[in-house]
Amino acid sequence: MVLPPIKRQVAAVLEPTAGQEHSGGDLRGTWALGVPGASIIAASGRNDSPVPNISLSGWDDVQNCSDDPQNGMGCSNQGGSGQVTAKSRHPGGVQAVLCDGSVVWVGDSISPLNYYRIHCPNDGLGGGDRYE
Amino acid sequence: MWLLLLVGCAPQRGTLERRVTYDEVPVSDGHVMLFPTDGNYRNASSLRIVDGWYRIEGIIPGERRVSLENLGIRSASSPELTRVAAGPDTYPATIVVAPGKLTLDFSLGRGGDGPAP
Repeated sequence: MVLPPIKRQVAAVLEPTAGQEHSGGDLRGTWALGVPGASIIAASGRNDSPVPNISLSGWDDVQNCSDDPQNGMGCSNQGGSGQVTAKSRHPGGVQAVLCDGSVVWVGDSISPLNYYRIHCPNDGLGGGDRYE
Repeated sequence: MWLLLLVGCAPQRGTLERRVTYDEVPVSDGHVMLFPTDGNYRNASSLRIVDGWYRIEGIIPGERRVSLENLGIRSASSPELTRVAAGPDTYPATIVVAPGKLTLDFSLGRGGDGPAP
């Protein structure tokens, strides 16, 4: 079965990483919880969370998170749960599952615009042929 | 030789610091974020505002778009954090960071066309 390109180019799953402190209520990196940072990744096409694998202070927006930019887990707990940067322990990018089930490598050098597009299901735009 | 050494030790990174206020009240919490206008987000900088003060060190010189996010104010009468939204016309959209220290106070407010907080 061949899915339309738009479907194929929407990311269903990207890698998150877990912080060192779950006890404080930081849910990032946990599995099967329907909040950003756990099983949902969201991107901002303009400000923080523009591309994978950067996490400065205040970067993610997750309730009850711990701001830990030294360990790649920068976060603000003041803005509600809205967005989390995909992060991995692999150098140079993150793995992503697209909506057709295929797995692609999303490189750190992906443009913020393309990264934003692959998060958006109904804009009629994919990320292009390349995810790097 | 001494002079050459001094030149060699000149700071190559920029530091940006000082006050953040909203309607002249210190902003208790939030973030100052600097995004390179050349699109290289690897050189972005961000640090938290604490009790009306911020300081970002180690900035690679260049032009930055400024974003102030998740701002909140506490007061003696209302210890809970009250969110405020800074009007985009109340702070500079872009700045140029040079090596050395740059002082920049953000005197925020709702602004002319900004949304109600």
